[in-house]
Amino acid sequence: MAVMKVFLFFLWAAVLPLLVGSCGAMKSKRDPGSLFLACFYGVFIEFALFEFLAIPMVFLRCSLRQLSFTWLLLSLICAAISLRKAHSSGKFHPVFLAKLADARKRLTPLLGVVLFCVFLQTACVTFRQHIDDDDAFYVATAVTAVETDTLMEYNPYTGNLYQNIPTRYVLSAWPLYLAALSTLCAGLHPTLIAHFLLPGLVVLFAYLIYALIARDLFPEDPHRQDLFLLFVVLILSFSGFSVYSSGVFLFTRGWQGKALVAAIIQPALFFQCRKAMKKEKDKTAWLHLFCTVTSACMFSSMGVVLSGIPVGVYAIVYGFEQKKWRYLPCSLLACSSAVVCGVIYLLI
Amino acid sequence: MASVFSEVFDHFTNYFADSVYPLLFFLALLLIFFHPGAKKERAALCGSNLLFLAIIFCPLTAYLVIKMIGSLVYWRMFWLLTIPVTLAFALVWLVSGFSRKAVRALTVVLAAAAIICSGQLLFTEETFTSRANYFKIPTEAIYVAESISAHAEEEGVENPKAVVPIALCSYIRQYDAGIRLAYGRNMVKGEVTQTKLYEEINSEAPRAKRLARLARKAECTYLILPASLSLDKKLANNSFIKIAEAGSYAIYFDSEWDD
Repeated sequence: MAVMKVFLFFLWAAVLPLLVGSCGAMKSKRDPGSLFLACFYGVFIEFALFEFLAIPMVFLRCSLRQLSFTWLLLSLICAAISLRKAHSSGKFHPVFLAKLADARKRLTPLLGVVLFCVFLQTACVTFRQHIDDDDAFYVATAVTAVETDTLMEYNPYTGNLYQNIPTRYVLSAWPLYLAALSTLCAGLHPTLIAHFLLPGLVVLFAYLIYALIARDLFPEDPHRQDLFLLFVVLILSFSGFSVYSSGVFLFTRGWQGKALVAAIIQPALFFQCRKAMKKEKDKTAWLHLFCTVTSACMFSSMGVVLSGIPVGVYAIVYGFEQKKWRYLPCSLLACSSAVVCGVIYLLI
Repeated sequence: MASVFSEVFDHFTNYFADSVYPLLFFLALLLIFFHPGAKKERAALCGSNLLFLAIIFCPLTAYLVIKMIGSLVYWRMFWLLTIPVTLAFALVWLVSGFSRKAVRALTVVLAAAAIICSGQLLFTEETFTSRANYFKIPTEAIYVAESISAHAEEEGVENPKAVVPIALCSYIRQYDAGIRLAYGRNMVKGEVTQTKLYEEINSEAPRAKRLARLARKAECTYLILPASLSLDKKLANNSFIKIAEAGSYAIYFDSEWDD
């Protein structure tokens, strides 16, 4: 039964996003059929979808089961549509198979060193422990939601009913995502998901984003891409100079929403803004940017500020570089979820 | 405005501590700006990071952001700087500048040494300890939670409520949210609820009679104390009977409990 639960976890948390993102990856002009790109797009689409469902459902006092199964149903529909669209392009199987064959050829000694380091880091965050007292809120919120089958109605510290809506946290549904995964994995304990299964996935996903950035910065130059990744691995590994660095948050608190804002959202926005404003220049890139910003809001209330500022800055920088000021209104639209969340935070 | 700037500067020094990463980052920005090969990424890396720094350090924007997110967490604004990407990108160009393979390899080694010497390894015994269990919470908290829920089920106590020492209060509900607590970590964060009970149970020598009275007043059916305090008899006199020992903690049940 435990194996089945873990299998379900990887199915919902890793495989489903890959399927949801497959259509977006097939449409990519520069790198069609990239499995990394499919995973990147799919993860943020899934998170954005969850945020859109969770916020109204929290205010409507729906149950966790209703949220979990609605999200799963919509995700499966998205995955089916995405797969169908990708398949109808006629290149789906050949491209994905070619990508897998490429991956085998790409394995150089330098990349081997990088992969080995990433493996060690993933193993460390999975099999060793770092206790953080903030989990008394974040993880306990997930466990409380599962226990009571409610959405943020009980104080996770004490288990008492909230007197007022927890305004600071109510728009960031990340703990509810952990609870929903628990529900969809036949009751796999949310603390096990947060502390044991998720940290390794988060580390791998962070490196997936850095690998996409490497491909983007050094196209057609695998050696430089590998070298870039080696330096990133070193920089992150040696970022223990203070307890505040994004590297520390990635490796020691990878299951907390604010850690995801630091370690996942910032590189993701860098990559996504490049795609929207510098490289592909298609409308779906803006849509994916919107999903990334919405995911930032889902992770933490800080995500509102820490997604809005970078998107605005990249719009100014790229707009100035290319003399295309339409990036500013476009990025405002892409940040609309952050703007709405920000306004709600100020009002409630 | 000057006070805002000095506050931001304090956050900067706290964020980077003794590391020379800011210097490496600055050198990386210079290299990207002047290296002809890296010209294409000047705007993306130099421009954006300089704008981030301007927003972070400008007293006006800092004041506005502090108003929104609070002063305590302003250091999170330094997450905006794309240090890993910028530094790694600059180092790749630095290495690529040499045509001879041996020199390139040596530069990679020197660059790696610079990162290693200027930073601090995260993967240490201090940061990551041996895992006590798959939940990665103190095992004693699991024992306590299991003892309470087993006893509550046996006695038919619905929604059991417990009062636990501060060392346990962050973990019980991460394992079993069916157990309510008299106070949680919110007490440590300054929210005022059950102050007297909190002070009594966490004092060096809790007084059994007062503790039992306060626990009962807070509707706690379970009382958890370090077993080393040896308060079994005194608590039993106040109707709190010891039902189990879990690790270094003793669990007491209010025999006057009435549903």
